Amino acid sequence: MSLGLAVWLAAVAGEDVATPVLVLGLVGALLTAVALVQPVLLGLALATSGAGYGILLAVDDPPLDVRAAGVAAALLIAGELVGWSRELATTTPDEPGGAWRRPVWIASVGIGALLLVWALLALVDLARVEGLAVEAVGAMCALAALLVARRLARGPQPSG
Amino acid sequence: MTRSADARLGAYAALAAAAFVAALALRRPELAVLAAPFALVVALGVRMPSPSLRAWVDIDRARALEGDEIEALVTVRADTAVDRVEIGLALPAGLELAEGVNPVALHLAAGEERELPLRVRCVRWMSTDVGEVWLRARDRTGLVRFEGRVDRRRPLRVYPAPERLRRLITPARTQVTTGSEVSPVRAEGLEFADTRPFVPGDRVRSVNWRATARRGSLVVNERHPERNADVVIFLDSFAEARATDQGTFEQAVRAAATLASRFLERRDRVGLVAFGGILRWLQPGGGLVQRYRLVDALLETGVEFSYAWKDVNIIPARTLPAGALVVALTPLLDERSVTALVDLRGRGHDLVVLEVSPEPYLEPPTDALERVALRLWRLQRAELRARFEGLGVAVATLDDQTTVEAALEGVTAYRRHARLVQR
Repeated sequence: MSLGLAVWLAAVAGEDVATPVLVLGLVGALLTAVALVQPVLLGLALATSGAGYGILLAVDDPPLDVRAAGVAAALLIAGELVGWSRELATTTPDEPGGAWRRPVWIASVGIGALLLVWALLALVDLARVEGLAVEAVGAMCALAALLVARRLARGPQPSG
Repeated sequence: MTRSADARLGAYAALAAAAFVAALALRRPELAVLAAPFALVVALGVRMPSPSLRAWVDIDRARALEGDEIEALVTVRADTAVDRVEIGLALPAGLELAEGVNPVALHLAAGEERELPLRVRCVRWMSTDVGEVWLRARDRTGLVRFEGRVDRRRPLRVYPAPERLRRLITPARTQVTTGSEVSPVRAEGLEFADTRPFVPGDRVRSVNWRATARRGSLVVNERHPERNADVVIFLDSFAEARATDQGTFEQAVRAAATLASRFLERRDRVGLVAFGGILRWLQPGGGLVQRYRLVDALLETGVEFSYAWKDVNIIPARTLPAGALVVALTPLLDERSVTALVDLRGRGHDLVVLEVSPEPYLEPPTDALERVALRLWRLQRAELRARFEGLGVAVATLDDQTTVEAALEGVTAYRRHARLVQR
């Protein structure tokens, strides 16, 4: 996953920044592999893989980069796969029918990250455009805050 | 339950923090947005409350024989939902899983109770406690783990499986109560001994009419009575030779249990002296209760290191009745036990030495010097055996290839031909 991210980012980066992005990505992929046995290096591995994307953003300076969703999902899935690999390395087998839970969770996390980042990018884009949509979102947020405050003010309901 | 964090927790938190800082420094909202899923997963992970789990262990019996399989039922109940809980029944050395999955990872809903049937094989004799269950739970994110231990230990005694013995050692002297051993003395019994002239008081049924007809005067039969014997098992617990999981002491205890149960089956009275760093003894007795007492005492015995010089004087006199057959199980490694055995022989006890050979546990020699040392050591041991034989003590060797029965055959052959030396 880290290797694929490195190649993809290098492919979409401009010519002047492709090499450092690729190098950082490869180092990140290598560190991710090492993190399978030394999990303390996982943070550094993910940060190194993500640093390539940071350089890409800083140098290419696109207006609002939607590729952040893919990068976030790829990094999160890489981290979860490292965790799963370490879990599989232990000798405790899952009960029959329970082995699918972890891959399903990892896939859900990836898809969830993708959707969350897309939604947040859409919000950022709204704020950047500064049109009537921002006012509408603001109003919805205020309404939601009021509902939450009202709910909290009522306190816990007596049971029975 | 103790709480610990997975490496991913720190990694995700650090990555989210770094991405937020980079977003501020580079003025790029994409980096802040990229950090959001990581921050969300961390938030979900750390809010996991400590799971409420309870576990029980049921062992179907508290006593078993070597090689037996016992049933263990591990029951776990979750009051709160747990995405994955690993459950393992801790099996002490000497017990191995025969059937079932241990440890196993389960998904438990709130209020769910699960039973994990296990079949455990008792590989070797021991006295141990079984029932310690360890639990490791995590939520769906797996960023935080909770580990705990449930102590439901109960004692389990695994008795040595007695070997089949067709014949036991015949004691030189018997006691006065009825048993299965043909006594050398002459009295009322079944085995024919001799004939002699009739004397007043002899029963008419004892008259040998054929001999009477030949001699012309009354002749009666003399018989050997069936009596029991006192047997004391002398277990040397001063020193042992051992490899990783087997040693001379294990072999000696197994042989002692075999001998004790077989002598008791023959209605003899059997006692025990565990002579070592700690002296343990059991006065001779008979019956099933004595058998359990003996085996329990054997299981409690271990090799205790000690510098203290000990001799037979510290053994209570009633533990070694006069005329008892003493069967010593010893690796002949400690001078104190050798001296004690010589003393016992000197005091007139009918002594048999079953030498539990330490040789299978020796490292093979690697150079000429070690080979010479091994030869010298073997010569010393041969001299020691000859010393015992010179005292009229039968010495047989037990090793991993020799059964107790084969060793006893050697003892019987020696005792058939050797005369006991009276000192």
